[in-house]
Order: sequence, then C-alpha cells, then structure tokens
Amino acid sequence: MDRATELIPEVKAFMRGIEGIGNDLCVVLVGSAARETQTENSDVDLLVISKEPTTDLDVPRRVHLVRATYDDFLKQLERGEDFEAWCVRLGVPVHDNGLWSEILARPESKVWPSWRKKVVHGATRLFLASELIEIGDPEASAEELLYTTGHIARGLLLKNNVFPLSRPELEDQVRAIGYPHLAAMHQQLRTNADNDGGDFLRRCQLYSKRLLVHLSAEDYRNCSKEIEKKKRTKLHKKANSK
Amino acid sequence: MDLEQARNHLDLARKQCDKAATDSWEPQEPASCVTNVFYAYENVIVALAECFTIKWKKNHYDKADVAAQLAKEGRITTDVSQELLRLNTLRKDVSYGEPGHDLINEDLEGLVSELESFIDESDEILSKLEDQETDEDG
Repeated sequence: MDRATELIPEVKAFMRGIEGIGNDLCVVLVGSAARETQTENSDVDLLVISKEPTTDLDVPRRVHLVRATYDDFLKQLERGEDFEAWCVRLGVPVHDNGLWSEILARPESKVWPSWRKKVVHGATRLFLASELIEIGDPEASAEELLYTTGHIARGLLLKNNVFPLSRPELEDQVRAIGYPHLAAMHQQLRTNADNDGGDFLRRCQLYSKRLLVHLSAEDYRNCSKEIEKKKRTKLHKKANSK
Repeated sequence: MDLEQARNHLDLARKQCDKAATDSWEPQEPASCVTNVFYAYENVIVALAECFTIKWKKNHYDKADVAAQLAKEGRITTDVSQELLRLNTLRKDVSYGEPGHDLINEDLEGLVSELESFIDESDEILSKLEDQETDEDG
C-alpha cells in the first residue's frame, strides 16, 4: 500500500479483511478516490482481480467492490469497455500479487475504449430515468440521469480522443471540448443541488436524448428499437396472463 | 408524522415493484429490475420513516440506517438494511456499463417476491395508522 491509499480508512479496513487470501488476488483503488477528487458523498471504489471468482469478501461500509476474474477483465478491455480501460490507466494498485502487473503488460491494456458503447449504456440509463420520471420519483430519476449524463460525457470525450477522468473531473473536461451545458447539468445532478423540480429533470432528459443522437443516431435508434421490442413482448405477455 | 407523504412513497414503491416484476420476466432485464427493486425498498423505508416520525436524508447509507432502526424498534419484522446495501452495490455494477457476474446470477423473481411481501407488511402498518387518524379526526 502506498501512503495515499494508507490514509483511506475504508481501504485499510478492506485489506485487513482479506488477510490470509492476499496471494490469490490483486486490489486496485479506482474512481474518484484514486484521483483524490472524492467528495463526502463518494464511495471508495475498489477493483479486485483474481484467477478464480472470489466469494464472501468482507466489504466495509462505503466501499463499492467490483470483482472480476483475470480472463474476464482482459476480455472487457479487448471489447473496448471504458471502466476497465480507466482502471489500467488511472487505477492505483493497493496490493498486487503479480496479476495487475501482468495485465498492464498485456496488449489489451492499450486498447482505446469504444465511444459507441457509451451510447448504448447512456440510452439504457436514459430509458430507466424516463420511466422513473413518469412514475413520479424525482430523487431516483435524478440519480439515473447522473449516470446517463456521465456515460454521454465519457462518450463525447472518447470520440474526441480525450480520456475521461473521474466523475467530478468530467465537467471541466467536457467544457473544454465545447459542451458547457452538459457540464452544468452533470454538476447539478452530481451535487444534488436544488433544482426546479420536474422541469429540470425533463430538460436533462431531452438534452440527454439530443446528445445521444448527436453522438450516434444509428446506435441510439438501434438501442431504442431493442428496448421498445422488449417492452412490447412483455406488455403482450402481461395482457395474456390476465 | 406525515401519512400523506408516507402513502405517496408507498405508492411509488408499488409502481417500481410492478416494473421490476415485468423486468424479471423473460427476456429478463436484470439491470432495470435490480434498480427498480432498490428504489422501491428505499421508498418503503421513507414511507415507514414518515409513519413513525424518523428523520431521513437523501442518502443511501442513511436510509439503510433507518431500515435497521425500524427493525430494532420492532416497527417491522424484517431488517432490510443489509439487503439495501447489497442492492446498492449490485445496481452500481451495471451503472458503469455491462452487468457484472453477481447481477447476471441474481434470482430476480425471488427478489421481487421478497419486496412484495415487505411492501404488503408496510402497507398494513400504514393503513392502520391512516384508520387511527381518520377515527381521531372523526
């Protein structure tokens, strides 16, 4: 553990909990804590990689644990997933049994993430947010819109050959490539700032859709079609079951 | 005690539970299902907090604490605090991108069924309090 990670009590607590099995896995600090940009609402994100799937790890409060096997992690890198790409570029190893160094030396760790995948991820979250707006849960829809705008910001940055940093840093990054409105919206959603209720959420919803289409109209259309198709199948099932 | 607020939150929980139930059918949508179940549980906890005048904050950990408090005080039979924390992690796995190993292997129908029971129990509590309030007003 280096000095920075040693100062995070949640990391220390997690490391104490895995004493004795440390040789089987590596632990990497990721997310805002790794960038030292965390806020009081941030969780501490830890990535655990092992050769075989891990179970029954003791996870301290406020720690969000992402577990992956070595093979799956490499596959995700190869597929162009940006979370894994983020980990290899910006993650801070807390404990390395050798697997992390191996991953960093692999060609997959150099793959530039696919911005098109962010359209699919963003659209999926947007549909969920829209449903939550419809049923009248502003708190939940604001959270889903935060994920949506985060995916969009990352997609735009990757398309512009800029590697997205941590969530609090995204705003400056998208502002720098010409999306100040997205930056402001993301910031308002992230900081839970008082908004003007449903109007703000509706504006976020519409603007997110516009940006997703702007990123890739074709991917957005395909994703929407897929979601609508699933919806129709289930409505049909529901009607038949009555 | 704000029973009107409590009823609003419980109604939201029911709608989210219905959505989660549909998500649990084939072709399953684990991300949407788990997310709806999580928000539904939180809405039930807020509803119960309103019933028993317990202060709550817009924070997932705080709501899990309220859930533990409700069980400790004997207001509800099940302590869902650990389930709330587990679901919080599970839904986050997908908010980063693809569903992770744990989410894919989740028993979605079981998850929805447990939520339904919890909503029903909470509805009984709320209905009793609503009846009491009506009697007092009358």
